[in-house]
Amino acid sequence: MANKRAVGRRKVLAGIAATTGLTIWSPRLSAQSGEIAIGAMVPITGPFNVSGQQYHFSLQMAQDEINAKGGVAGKKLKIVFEDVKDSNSVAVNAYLKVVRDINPPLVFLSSYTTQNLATEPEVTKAQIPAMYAGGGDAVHMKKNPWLFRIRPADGIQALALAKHATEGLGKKKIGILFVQNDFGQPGAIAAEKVIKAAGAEVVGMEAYAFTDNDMSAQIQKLKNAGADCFICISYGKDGALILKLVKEMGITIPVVASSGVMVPAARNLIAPDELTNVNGVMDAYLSAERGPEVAAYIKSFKDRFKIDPDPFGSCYYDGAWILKGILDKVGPDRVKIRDALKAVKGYKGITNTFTTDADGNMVHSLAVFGIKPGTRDPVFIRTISAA
Amino acid sequence: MSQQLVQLIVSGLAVGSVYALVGLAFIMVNEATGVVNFATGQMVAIGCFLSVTTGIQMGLPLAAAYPAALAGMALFGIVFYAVVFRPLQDRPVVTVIIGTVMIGIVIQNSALITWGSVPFRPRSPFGRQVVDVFGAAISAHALFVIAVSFLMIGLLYAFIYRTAIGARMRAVAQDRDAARLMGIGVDRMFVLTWVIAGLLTGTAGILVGPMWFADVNMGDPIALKAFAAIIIGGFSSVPGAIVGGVLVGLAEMLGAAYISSAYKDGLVFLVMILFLLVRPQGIFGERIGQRA
Repeated sequence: MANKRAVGRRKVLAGIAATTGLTIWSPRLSAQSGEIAIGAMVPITGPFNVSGQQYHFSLQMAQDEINAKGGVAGKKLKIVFEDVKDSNSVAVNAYLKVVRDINPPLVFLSSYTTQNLATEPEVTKAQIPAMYAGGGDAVHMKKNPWLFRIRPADGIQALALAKHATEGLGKKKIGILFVQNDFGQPGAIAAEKVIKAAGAEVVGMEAYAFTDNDMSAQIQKLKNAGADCFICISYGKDGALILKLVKEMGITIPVVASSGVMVPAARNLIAPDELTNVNGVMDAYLSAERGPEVAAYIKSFKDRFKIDPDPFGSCYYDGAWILKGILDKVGPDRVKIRDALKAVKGYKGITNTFTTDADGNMVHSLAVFGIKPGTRDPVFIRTISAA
Repeated sequence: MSQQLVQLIVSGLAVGSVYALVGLAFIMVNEATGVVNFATGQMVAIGCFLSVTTGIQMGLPLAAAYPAALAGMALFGIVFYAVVFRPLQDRPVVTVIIGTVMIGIVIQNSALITWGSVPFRPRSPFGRQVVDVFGAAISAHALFVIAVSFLMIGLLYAFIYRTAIGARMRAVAQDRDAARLMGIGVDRMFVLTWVIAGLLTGTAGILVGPMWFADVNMGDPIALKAFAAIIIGGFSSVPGAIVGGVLVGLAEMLGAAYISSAYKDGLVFLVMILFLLVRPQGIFGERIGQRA
């Protein structure tokens, strides 16, 4: 009986040892099996899942296309996705899990600033380069040498919104409506500074919560303050609600909306007549007019996922292709990848041209759009760059 | 009365009447079963999405789409009872409450898989018609929301206080064992309670869809405000849910306009905390001791 128990213990210990060994050696096993595995922290569920879905799809597409063209550094690229929901702690745990499980040469971080900020200390500890799409200036102000932003910072967006309202539309009394979080609040403050510097007046700044469903009080207040133009710093659904309310309330002054409002998923919620007088910025001019590569990307995305791609998620597609070029050149060495990311200059992607600055920002401009009357189709107006 | 004030009051009443409906769903379940159903918000979202399926995806006229969605919600209430409440009903209340939280997460993620992450814009019976009320431009749908909500509340009130079945439900709510001894089918009353909760949340979901769009995460903020409304109005009181809902809706709108948009939610929850400290039974609620 005792002997049987001893054998049982040995088996258990052997099992534990085998499992531990597998865990420790999993990256090597992954490499030996002809794969290079990288991590991707995606808000697949939760309130950010609309943009998360675009991010998820664009990386799936990049992975398959890259593998169809021979993979990376002669190996198959495998992207391991982790759901980060809308929680910082989930994002950190997901990052630690992916680092422990696959020991990747690079991780794509979430597209939300607070999650990027929460994960940033772990990135420093792990010393694994990461590409991210959270726009908050607070991330690049950390000057973390391992972090690289693949879309325009929120500061550039605020600048573009304010510049277009004042210089582009010639408005003098601006009302700012913003979502009250790390995206909207700093954006509103930055826009206010640019507006004042342009000699115009900010007649009011009104906040709303991300989960709010009725912003009519804030809209009414800005209208009563004498606004001749609204700047709307919002995400998709909340921005669409604002445009719907503006129309319902019979307000006809122009609205300059942030990129979340201009993405296809949000525009499809808004009736064409509710988009009259709406201008907006987007991370990129993602249109077939820009050339055959962009046209092919849009078509492939739509054919595969049955929705239009948006620039917010598509930047990860560009990130994956930038990574392929680097892995082909320097292999999976993290320091070499980091140094190669720092040296990116003039890479022409689907969304933008990427050049890394001292703070790890790789994109420095965004596009301003109007809406073709009677439709939901954006019409390119101009590009505004940080410089 | 200024146009702005009319606009704000109507918006506040529309929002508040939805909170009242959802608050009543909380109260019905809590009174009958002793459980706070933390999946109430997700039930609102399912109601809204069923109207998306019937009204948009199946293309039914709204006169058929809405009843079909409500029938679906009645069925959902029965399934909820059979799958969640019945297996857990003899467990400690905390277990049942945690069960409702867990099932809420399951419902939300199931909705995500079923309907996807991209929001929908359900149709309103009034399209995007705007009416003039004392010079203010008011969405006809907002007035429809107020009318239907109060009609539903009136019907529910009549059902509970003017019918024999309502009397049986109240008997079960007061003393389950005594009601059983009196020959009342307690389990049937529980099923009916969950059906009514399904209908109330379903109606709320159908009503808010054209105003606020349908997305899988829409339920929690509505349920949170409805919960605040019934704390303020009184956790066991139908009039309390109505008054609490309207107060919260108006406080949101008027607070944002005249105090601070940044702190309007803080204002609502501050009032809720004050009630919990000073008058925990709410405006109309009875003290626990008065129920016996």
